[in-house]
Amino acid sequence: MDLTSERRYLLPVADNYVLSVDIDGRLSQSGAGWNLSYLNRVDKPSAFDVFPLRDDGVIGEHDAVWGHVEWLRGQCAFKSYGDAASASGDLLIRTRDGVMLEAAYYGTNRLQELGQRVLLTSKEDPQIEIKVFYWLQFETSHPKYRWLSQTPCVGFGRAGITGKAGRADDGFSFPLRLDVYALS
Amino acid sequence: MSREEVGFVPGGVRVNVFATPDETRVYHALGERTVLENRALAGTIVWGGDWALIREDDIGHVNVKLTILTDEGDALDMRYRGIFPSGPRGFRKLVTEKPALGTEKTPFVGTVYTAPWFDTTSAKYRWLTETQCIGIGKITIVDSVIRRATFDVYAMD
Repeated sequence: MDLTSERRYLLPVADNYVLSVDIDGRLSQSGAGWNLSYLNRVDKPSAFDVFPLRDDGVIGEHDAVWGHVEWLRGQCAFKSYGDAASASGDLLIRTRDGVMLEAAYYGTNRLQELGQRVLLTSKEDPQIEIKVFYWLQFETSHPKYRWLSQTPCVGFGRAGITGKAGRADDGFSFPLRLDVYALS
Repeated sequence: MSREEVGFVPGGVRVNVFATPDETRVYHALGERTVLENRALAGTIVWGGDWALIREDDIGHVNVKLTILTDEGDALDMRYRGIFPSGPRGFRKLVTEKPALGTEKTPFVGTVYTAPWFDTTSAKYRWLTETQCIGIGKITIVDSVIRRATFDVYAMD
């Protein structure tokens, strides 16, 4: 499953790139919807999961954002038909200089054709590709990153449901690769 | 547009702004009948409002729900959040400063960024319910009151 193709498509043609997020979340069923969760349980001083794709020190007029996702919690609700789901949630980022950034997001997860059926009925471990389209709103009190609060952002990315993680009750692993661009 | 001033709340000022029913058009700016191989939207906003928060840190947050009735009689629910960067001292200019922001001769025009979602039971517009959109708009302010809002909506695809 190629989770990087969206980057190859957008990055060369966009001059408003902000940051990327790579995390391996977990998707678990909750009634009619699904919950997405991620909790950073280990200290990862070198492997940042929030980073600029080109290792740039500066993005536009601002220092590039490097850091870790501390946690993510989200919801995902499928339309009763089709393979699109509405998604919403929040994630908390701790930058490498110790600043907390919160990002609320909402948008659409678009599964591959018949993805919802595969997810709900497959007896084998599913391999489902997802395109994600998110709107993000950052919040922070730190002056260095205040520009992010004032910048409307959109996220294009790829995700996958790559198989059952342990028991069925534990849900599926959900790798998410998101590139965030400024709208203004 | 009509409005209800809720007033100062923690973090900013709340104001509700409502579209004038049946006087707001939804249309394709280039007059196309199809969009992304689907039927283009043409209709009227029959109901809609923005439960907005103008924040003290010079960022306005919009929270809009509205109903579009197409010319063929299909009802679509549209809702979005978004932000309106009001610029340096924007909060003070909008809320407390005299004279008020924008005049009839020189209205203040600001840019609003939104991310609409659609919902409908109409099969013709089902494609919209599966499409995340972004909207970039202009709001015209006269005497610190929103007089007009126009948006162009694009699919994130």
